[in-house]
Amino acid sequence: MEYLPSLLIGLAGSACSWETFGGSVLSLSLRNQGRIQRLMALILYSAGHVFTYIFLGAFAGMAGRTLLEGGVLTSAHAGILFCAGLMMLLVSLEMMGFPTRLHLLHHFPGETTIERIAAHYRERFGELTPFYLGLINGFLPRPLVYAGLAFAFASGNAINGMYTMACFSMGMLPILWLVGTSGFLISPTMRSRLIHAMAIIVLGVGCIMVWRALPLHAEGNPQVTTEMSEMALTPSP
Amino acid sequence: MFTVETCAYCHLPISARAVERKLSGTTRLFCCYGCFLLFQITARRKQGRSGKWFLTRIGIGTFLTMCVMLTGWMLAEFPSHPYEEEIIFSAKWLIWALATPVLILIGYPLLKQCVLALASGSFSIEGGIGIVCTVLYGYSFVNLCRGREPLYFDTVCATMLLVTLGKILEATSKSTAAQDIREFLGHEKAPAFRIDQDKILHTTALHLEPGDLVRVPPGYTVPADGKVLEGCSRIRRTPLTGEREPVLCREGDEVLCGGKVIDETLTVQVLKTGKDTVLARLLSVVEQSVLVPSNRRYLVDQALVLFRPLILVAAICTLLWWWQESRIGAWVNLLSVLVIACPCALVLTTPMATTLAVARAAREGILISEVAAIEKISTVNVCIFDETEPTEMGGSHLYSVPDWSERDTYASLVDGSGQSTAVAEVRSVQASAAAATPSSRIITACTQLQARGVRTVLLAGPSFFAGQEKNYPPAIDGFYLGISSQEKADLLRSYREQGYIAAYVSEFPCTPICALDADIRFTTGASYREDLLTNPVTLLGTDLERLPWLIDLSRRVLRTVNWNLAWSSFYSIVGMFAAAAGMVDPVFAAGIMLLGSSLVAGNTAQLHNYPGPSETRS
Repeated sequence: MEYLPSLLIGLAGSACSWETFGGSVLSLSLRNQGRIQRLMALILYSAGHVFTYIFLGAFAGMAGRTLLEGGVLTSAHAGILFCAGLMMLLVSLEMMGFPTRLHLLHHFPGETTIERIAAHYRERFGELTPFYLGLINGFLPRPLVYAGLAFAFASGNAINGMYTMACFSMGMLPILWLVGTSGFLISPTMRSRLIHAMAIIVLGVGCIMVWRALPLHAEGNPQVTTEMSEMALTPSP
Repeated sequence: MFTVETCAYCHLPISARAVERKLSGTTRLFCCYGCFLLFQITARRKQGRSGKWFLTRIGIGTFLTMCVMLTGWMLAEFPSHPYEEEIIFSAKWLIWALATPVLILIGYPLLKQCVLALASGSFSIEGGIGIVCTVLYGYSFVNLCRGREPLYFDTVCATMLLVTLGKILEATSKSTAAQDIREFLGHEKAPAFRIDQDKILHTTALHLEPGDLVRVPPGYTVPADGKVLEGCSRIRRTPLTGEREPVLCREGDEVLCGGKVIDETLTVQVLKTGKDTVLARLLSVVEQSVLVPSNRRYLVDQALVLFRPLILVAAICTLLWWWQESRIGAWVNLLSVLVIACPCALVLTTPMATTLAVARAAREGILISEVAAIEKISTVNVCIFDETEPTEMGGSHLYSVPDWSERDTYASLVDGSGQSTAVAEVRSVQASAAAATPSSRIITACTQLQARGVRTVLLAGPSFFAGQEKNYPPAIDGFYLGISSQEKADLLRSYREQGYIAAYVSEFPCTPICALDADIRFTTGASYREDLLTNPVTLLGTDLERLPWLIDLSRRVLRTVNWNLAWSSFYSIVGMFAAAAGMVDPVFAAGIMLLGSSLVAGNTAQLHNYPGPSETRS
């Protein structure tokens, strides 16, 4: 299972996605005057966010399951992990300020529509708006989310995929809450240091994933090669 | 050619089929269901509740659909885990409980759409999807009560949600295209700093009146036509005059609404405001042009008239074909056919591309008063530049003439020989004409046109002396001096007889009768005048290098439209047959539809950022 890496990249991903989510979270917390209201807004936003990631994880897991049943996933598993690891290495380089072409992954067709719908929700602020915003923002593309989804996909099971992405989204919460409660107190220098620290975590996890995905260590992932194959071959009761 | 109504939301022309809705007592026309949905949020802001309720509906619908699908996926994993039978049974009822509000929240508007369409004697695909989803829901509920399989609650919810989101996505893309023009048209909302005694009041261009004094700081646009009273600054006014380089304006100079101040603050006395400004008149041309559908759009609309009954026939055949095998399977396949064959992307592409192209050209000072001209420009393969009036030569951009001082010398010499001044003037002009050679601008433009496979021909009227034809540079394929109007017409006709698509470029005020035979006519002029717009395309200013750029832009528009039409027709037709054969799941079909619309919209939206003439050259 890739729960710990997911948790770590979720943590790093929230720092990386500061621009995407930070603004929304900060505006939510500034919009609500009372302490309880502010807390409720943060909880609702986080719930929406976590729910979307769980949904995406389950979806990726289902897709992985389909391939597993077709016998493709077992052989492709190492490749998927390698790609996820490589993407994490690239993201870490980007976070450290090296030029990469990763900005291409920050966009996908229909993204503008998602942003516009989110803008409509922000305009018509209601009690449940933070939840909807979290739900919608979860669909916005981020490279580390793709890495998390790759883990979920490689798990080859909707429930495992769900858990993987749940860990990923839980990893995002500390920084999301930090931004929501005291984001305006964090100076740009502090933020830059935080991002660099997170970049090191992503780099480390990325290296481990690439190492594990290499053919030499393929047997180091027994649940994939044996357990998953057995699962796929076991007839349903 | 016909003029059409515009959509109340995206403001693009409606030609094929309009969605008519009565909102707050007013009947409005929408080009699609998506525009109607989005209109409820954006245009009905004053009636806050309806917009909020719509957003809540979509939000709750999305959340519940995600819950339904999650539960369904978890159920699919259950056989490999030792769960109790009762839990599975409860989970199925949970799915039903979650799916029911989705049907009410998202399915109800689709059903209403169907009823309204049937009442008006037409067929709505979205409505058809709503009906089939309701039938599938009913079947699944009966199966659930009887403890049978299969259940299609997740399919129903996901399909309805994806179809609704697809409609919203299309409407959003269309409104983006229209917004491109509206931003250009939005000069009335431009900020203005009115000087009221000693105070400076922050207002908008809409509230200015002739005689007002305004300050225009650097970076701001001039809010009205006026005269500079104080200050000296360069002003960029490409959309107004076609001049790419900023122009220096000093005290006493006239400035036009829409020009952007670059260097320092100007104090301007307002002379004309609102619809009287040059910009407003230009914009009305741009706005009107997109209302007239292009030939391609007309063809697409005609094709859709045939395509919709074809979808209906395919849907009925699918239902009948699969009915004997499995009734519920027949409804599922019918749903797939309706979803994947929905021709939304087909309807979307042409108006969106042409609107973006008109707005893009307007930003470069090119006014397209007929959208159909874009199609013609892309096919042009001979470009005839005409210069008819020798008296206009001083301001001509087609020819370089000798220095005026030399002309004066010549005139004085002639005058010294005892002839009248008037005759001397004519002679001097003729002398200039005799020495006229194509200007460097036109040579550059011709070189660029040749590189695009367009032949270039230069014409000049009878006042020019013949015999200079052999002195033209290689960039020009033909150079005819001193030919009459009839000869020009014959030349144009001969090109057309040889199969050329001829563009006729004349400098204002010359639009000779012989040019009427041309496939497309361009006018170039130093600045805006009402009578400039008699031709379908006007290049404001003297920069002829925008002509090859315009040809590139129109070719790009055509490529985009053709690619989009080919792609959307391909996936609709192939998908329809695959769905009729039972090979496509409805949710997958909805995903394909969403992806198809996204690709078409994204591909078309790139026209907004089409590089300008200077960027293209660099």
